Amino acid sequence: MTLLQVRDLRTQLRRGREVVTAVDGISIDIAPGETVGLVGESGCGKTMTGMSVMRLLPPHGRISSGSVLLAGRDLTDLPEREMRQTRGRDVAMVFQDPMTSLNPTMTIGKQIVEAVRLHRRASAAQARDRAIEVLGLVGMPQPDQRLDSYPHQLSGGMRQRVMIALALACEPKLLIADEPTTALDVTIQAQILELLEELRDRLSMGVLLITHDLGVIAGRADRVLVMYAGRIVESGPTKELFAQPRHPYTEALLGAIPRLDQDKDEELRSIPGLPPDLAHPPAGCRFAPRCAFATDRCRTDDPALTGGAHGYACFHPRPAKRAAVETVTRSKDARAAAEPGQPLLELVDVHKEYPVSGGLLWRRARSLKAVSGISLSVTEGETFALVGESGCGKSTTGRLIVGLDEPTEGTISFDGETLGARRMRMRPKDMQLVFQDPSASLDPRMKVGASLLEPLVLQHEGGRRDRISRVEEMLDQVGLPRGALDRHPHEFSGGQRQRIGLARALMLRPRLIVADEPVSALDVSVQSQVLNLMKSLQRSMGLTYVVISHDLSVVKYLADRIGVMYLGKIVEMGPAARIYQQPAHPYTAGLLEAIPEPDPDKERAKAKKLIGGELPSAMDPPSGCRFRTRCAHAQDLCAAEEPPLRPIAGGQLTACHFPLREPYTAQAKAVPAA
Amino acid sequence: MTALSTPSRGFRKSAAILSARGGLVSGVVLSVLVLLLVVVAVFPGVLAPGDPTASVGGAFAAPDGSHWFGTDDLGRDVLTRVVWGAHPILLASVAGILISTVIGVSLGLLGGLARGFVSGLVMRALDVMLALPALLIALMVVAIVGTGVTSVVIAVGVAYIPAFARVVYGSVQRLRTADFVAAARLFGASRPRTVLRHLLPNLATEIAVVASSAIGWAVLTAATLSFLGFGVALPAPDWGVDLSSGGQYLETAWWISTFPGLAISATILLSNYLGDYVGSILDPRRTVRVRRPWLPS
Repeated sequence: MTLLQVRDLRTQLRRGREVVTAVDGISIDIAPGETVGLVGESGCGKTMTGMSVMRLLPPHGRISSGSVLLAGRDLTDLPEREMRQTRGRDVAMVFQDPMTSLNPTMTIGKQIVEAVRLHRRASAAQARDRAIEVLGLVGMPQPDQRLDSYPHQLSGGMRQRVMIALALACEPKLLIADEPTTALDVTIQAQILELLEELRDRLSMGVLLITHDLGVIAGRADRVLVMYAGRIVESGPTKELFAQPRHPYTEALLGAIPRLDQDKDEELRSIPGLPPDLAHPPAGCRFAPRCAFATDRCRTDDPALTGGAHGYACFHPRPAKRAAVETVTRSKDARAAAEPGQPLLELVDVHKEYPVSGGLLWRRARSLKAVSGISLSVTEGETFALVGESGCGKSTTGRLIVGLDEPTEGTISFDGETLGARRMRMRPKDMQLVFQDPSASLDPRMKVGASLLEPLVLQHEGGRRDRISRVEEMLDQVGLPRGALDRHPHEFSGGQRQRIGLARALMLRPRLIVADEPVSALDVSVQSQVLNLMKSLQRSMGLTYVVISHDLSVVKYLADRIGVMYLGKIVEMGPAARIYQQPAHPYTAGLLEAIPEPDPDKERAKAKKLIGGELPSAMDPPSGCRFRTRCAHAQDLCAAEEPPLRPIAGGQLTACHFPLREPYTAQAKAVPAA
Repeated sequence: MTALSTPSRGFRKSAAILSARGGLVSGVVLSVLVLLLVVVAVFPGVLAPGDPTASVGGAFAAPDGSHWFGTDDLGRDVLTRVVWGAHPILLASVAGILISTVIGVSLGLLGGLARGFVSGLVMRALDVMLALPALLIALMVVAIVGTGVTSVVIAVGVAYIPAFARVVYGSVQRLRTADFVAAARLFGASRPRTVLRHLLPNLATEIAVVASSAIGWAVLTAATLSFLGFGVALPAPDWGVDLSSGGQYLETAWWISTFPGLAISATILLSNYLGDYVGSILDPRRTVRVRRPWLPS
């Protein structure tokens, strides 16, 4: 029996004088207790599909044809009044950002009570009991006390739990989860996905899981639908689809993600070009303009979704038995063999505290300890990565290194020279920063040419003609057309903007680049392009990178050495390969465990040992080991004494009293830490 | 670097930008109206060749073919007076707003960029000014510097300083922590350069929008001041003065006050539309989004 049966759904949006067909004839079946994953790049119509099922389209949109049968009832022609009753009672939705989808002026209890009483005849007291019940169900500690909290008093993970509780208040038969964990940290993401799965089984709900993250899909979905330009291009059981993708798009998407077992000398696959504008989709196969296997037929005829349980819409499917995928392997890095030289960058016991003003009456001087005593050194030519959850101080460290902020204590030296205080700290020609969001880091009013020229002008480098030729050279190097110079940043796609950001950072030919989440704002297909570019630029220009990221797969692909940060401290540091293979700190191990990998077998085999709880406040961090509040191995010693960063085998350093692997030597030299 | 374009290409490009961002038709209509107002203010003789202070016939003549707006209590042509009256009031408001833009933007930048005491001092002073109605401030200024067109210019200029300063202050707070400002610092940009090259261009839209709408408020303030007798003295033509002097004949000769009044209202409306329009065409990110309900296809 199917719970949801979508047939030939077509949703159109009006955009000026044009009509955009965001969803173009797609069909979905979901059985009770089943999770169906819907993946695709941004702008491919995933969210509009969910919104169409809910009939929550924007005012300029409408379902133009097709049917949405929920338990046999067609939702497309229900009167609005009945649709309102259906929403919440039969089908509910969880959105990406729980901060904007919860009402900030109402307590969470009130919001859940409201949802309950809209659909059930319940007294205020009964509804309140139900609210406590569902909050308990989603793992909210002390639900009866939490009822009176406002959304802003909760953490992101807790808010998403509330959002799920709200959706589940009336036990819907179908739950649509639209990027439910995209805004959350990886450890919290694992908790929420686990929770969704558990609730699905308990309530035998059907779940439509919409996401761009193939790793999330691999572990959680029973079946997968791959969406491209408003169409389903491939569908099938998760294991089969991941093992033998037949559509070139699916194959390319899978190839674009750096995996944990990725060979670092292998170029990531990337998909050239951009998805088509859905107001004017190309004739024939919509993927044809970006497809390496497209023939003339693909450009004229439109392939239909065929092939039974594992269906695909392609005239030239990839072979079912996969030959070894040819990959471009770069020449092994020469620098990898080079002797570790003089450290280019060195941080010694660096602290950064931000004063926090308290309430009006109690002006107790409190401070937020963003970075509390980290020491590290980066050798010329290597890539050092700082990883950790949001709020662990990694971005602050990046700002301290380039000189946008002053350390409260400790020293930072570059090329053997200790950098002075105040303004003198910045060394434009030596160090540059690549920002996370290129649309925020490029002046929206400045043409790209002017933005790229600015560093040269400010540093009085070269004459006018020389400057222009350097800008043009740089454009070639990052793979942008010369015509880009005369345009504004908003005229470019996210990936192109990040190329511009990289180009600008490289204009002064710095030796060290600090890249703060350089690809996390980008789609996977574009992400791989930027990662490849970063690697090739490193080789051609001999750059040293400090990469800051929460994405451990990206870090694994880029980094030679890694520092894992937790609440302002480095808890583990060492060669990337060692850290990934044999993490010694329980936090690193948990973090690695939590990354969703695009491999259904691995994902399902994972022991569900999650890092519980959430990051404590950096205003008063826990005594002793800061991780102890979330650590499964914590003992009394951990609360009493702070573990120093000690060397263990393989050049790894770990700050833990009870590391997962034995300390290196009996003498256990303590490295000067805090 | 800059694309050299022939005039016709440039024109076509601007036309395309206009129609994409603000609507070409409303742009043409607005430009014609603004141009008309400018001509009226600068060359009143072109549209109304007569002498605004001379009697042209009987007093209190109702509007007809020869005197479209009728005549006033002294037999002067109301149309001629309305045309000639545009000059002092528009001069006062445009010049006044120019003054408040320059001072207001500077104070806003100072308040937003300085730290601690200076910023606090500037912003609290502006708060005090904001707490008083603009008209009251204008009256206080006139009380100090005396009457006359120059005083009205100064009064309007002072009265609208806080409006600009507040808008700029708010945006500076937002922009000073923007990534692109940090990026400029990392390339070694000095503070003044960051302000000139990065902050001001990004503030330009907001300033232009506030300025074009503020002209409307300023017209009202200037008209009120002359209505109360602090601006142009009779018999010189002025919308505020005429509005006031015609008031006593409203029951018998409605046209004497009504036409200057209509001129004031029309100018304010025009200025408001201009503000919206300027806002939409100056933003490079903006293309017009038509929010029409779905039409069955």
